[in-house]
Amino acid sequence: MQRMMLMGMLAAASATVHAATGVALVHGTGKQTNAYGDYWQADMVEGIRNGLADRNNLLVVNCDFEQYMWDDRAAGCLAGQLTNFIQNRNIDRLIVITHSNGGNVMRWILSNPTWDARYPEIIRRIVKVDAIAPSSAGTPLADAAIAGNVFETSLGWLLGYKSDAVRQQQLGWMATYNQQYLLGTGGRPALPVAFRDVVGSDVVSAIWSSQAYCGGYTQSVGLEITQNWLSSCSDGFIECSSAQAAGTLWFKDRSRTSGGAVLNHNQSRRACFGLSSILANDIRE
Amino acid sequence: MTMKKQILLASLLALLVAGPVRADDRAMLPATAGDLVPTHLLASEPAAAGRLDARAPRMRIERRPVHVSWALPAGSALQPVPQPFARPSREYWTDVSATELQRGVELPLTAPGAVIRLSPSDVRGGRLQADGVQLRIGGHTLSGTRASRTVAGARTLAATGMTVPEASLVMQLRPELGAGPVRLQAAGASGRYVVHVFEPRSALTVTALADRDDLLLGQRLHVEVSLREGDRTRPLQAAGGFLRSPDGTTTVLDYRDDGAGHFSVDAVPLHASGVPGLWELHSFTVGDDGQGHAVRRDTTSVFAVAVPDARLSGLASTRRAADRGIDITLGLIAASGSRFAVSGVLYGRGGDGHLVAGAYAQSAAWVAPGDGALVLHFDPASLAGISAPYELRDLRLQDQPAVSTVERRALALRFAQP
Repeated sequence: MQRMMLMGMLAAASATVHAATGVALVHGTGKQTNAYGDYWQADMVEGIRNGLADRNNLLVVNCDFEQYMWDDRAAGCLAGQLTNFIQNRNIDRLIVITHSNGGNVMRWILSNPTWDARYPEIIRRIVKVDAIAPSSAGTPLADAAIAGNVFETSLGWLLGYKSDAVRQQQLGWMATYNQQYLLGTGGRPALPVAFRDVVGSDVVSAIWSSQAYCGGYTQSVGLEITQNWLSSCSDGFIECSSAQAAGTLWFKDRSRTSGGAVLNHNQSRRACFGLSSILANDIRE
Repeated sequence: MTMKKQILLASLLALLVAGPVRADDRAMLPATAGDLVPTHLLASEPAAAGRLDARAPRMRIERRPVHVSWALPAGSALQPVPQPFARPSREYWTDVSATELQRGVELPLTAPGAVIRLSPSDVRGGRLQADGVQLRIGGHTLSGTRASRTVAGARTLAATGMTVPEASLVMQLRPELGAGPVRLQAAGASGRYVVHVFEPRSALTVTALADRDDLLLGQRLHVEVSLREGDRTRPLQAAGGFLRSPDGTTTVLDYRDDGAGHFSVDAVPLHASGVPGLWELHSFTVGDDGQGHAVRRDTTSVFAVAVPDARLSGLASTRRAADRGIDITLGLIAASGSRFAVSGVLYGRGGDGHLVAGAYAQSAAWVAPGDGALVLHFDPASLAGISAPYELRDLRLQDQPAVSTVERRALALRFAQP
């Protein structure tokens, strides 16, 4: 009996030792070629890496997220990089950390596993998705930025910046995508893996507040304008209701950050107020 | 979650793409109001793979069959009929020429603190600074700088994530200037401009409520447009707008007034879009605030349109699968070859004896034109929380390369034993 128990314990321990945990960082809107330096920056990436037993098991995804989530340059690119990472590093326990619209691209893969034969193999290895400030229900700022562009088609002149990713993050578009093609929001079937939301709840932009400077101060003037479109609970880009529209709430900024600081939309992809340590600790669990 | 372990590649299966269901198999339940059911089929254009236009979406079309299933959390409260989305609008857009802007354009405002954005077509010659803009409001003429509490350009807003068009100028007016008509003038205007007015503090809103969230080519979308002030409805004086397909094609629509200032419009998408995406119905309205001041509001309704290139035949069969799960074979008639997917939620009797949502399954394969079938496979682990009798709900048939839902049934099948 004792021998059997010992063998069982050894088998369990062996399984733990050989389980290769990996982390993938998935950026938000934009075409990234150096997301390590440009999107996340070294302090954030290296802080998260501290949670890994094998520090090489970290992937910083670089894809073209100016596209619709279902475009091959978005979900297809993400699936390709995750598949290569899983195969090259023998990852059998994958934690995906997304920011902003990256959560939508990841949720496309989770919601449409039959779209691409690579998707089920990726999903099979994911233990959880930590979705930081996901635009799961869109953002009014996308509507405000793009809605006037309707004139371009009726009048024949272009209004500069156009991005399918921004178009997709309009409130009405995300509402329709959530009902038609995506899972995990209210009234829809649950996703096949845990999708845990990290929610930024406010913006501190006062020039005398040290909190305003982490991640850069340049957006403070713009935030005075953009806050007009957003509800009182927002990170300056995503409303709290959107950030927790899919999956389950992991935490709101104040409940876990150092000193109860809030995370604006820029700070939630940077090593601000202990966020990288929170994520690293979560990897170890 | 253990459900991820239930996800299987269907390359293991020969049963995924079954032959046509037999005529003696059970019939699906009749469609109900709110279901999306093709009455006739149309062959669709070939999928958009490999388009030469770099701006067009790129599709990766999978050829291998894939199927998955997983258990749903206990207590899942599901809504099988998509609900149309609507939100109150406090904003409007207008398009003006440089000549008009040099002379001055009238912008009705209903509340203090409006945000005005000017976006030029000519991003070099048409770029305006706040000092180069004049606003006449309440008998005062002020420069844009003096009239504004905050001024920002495209680059500043981009830093927040709000990607307005290049060379845009955004001004939030000082609240103490009040409301009422504003005359906006810019002597140095060049080219054309889109002027966007957003009134975050206004109680006057317009909502366009559609009767559905998805439809098939040739079906009708009905939209009701109404102006509200708080809880009260106010009459609109005029409404107009157009339908915009994902490829940018627009169709001007005819809005009807019911005589009491409520407008409605019917839109019927007749031609398939050249690219996947969602359709938009743009409504532009004019009303008044009851005190002689004009109220302008624009709003957009978003919905999905599918080419009915396949439908469920109405025949289905159920059987106990080799792995002790449940296979539901669904007959399919395809007008064109594509990769089609079926998905559905299996309800069954839960531990407390009530019917509960227990499992979700999705299955996709390439289907040639003609009669075929797809098999929804619920593996044993996905069925752990439910037992007979069963109901298959929220059944959807999707054309994956077209990113479209071609059929949707709230309740498709009841069966006691597979």
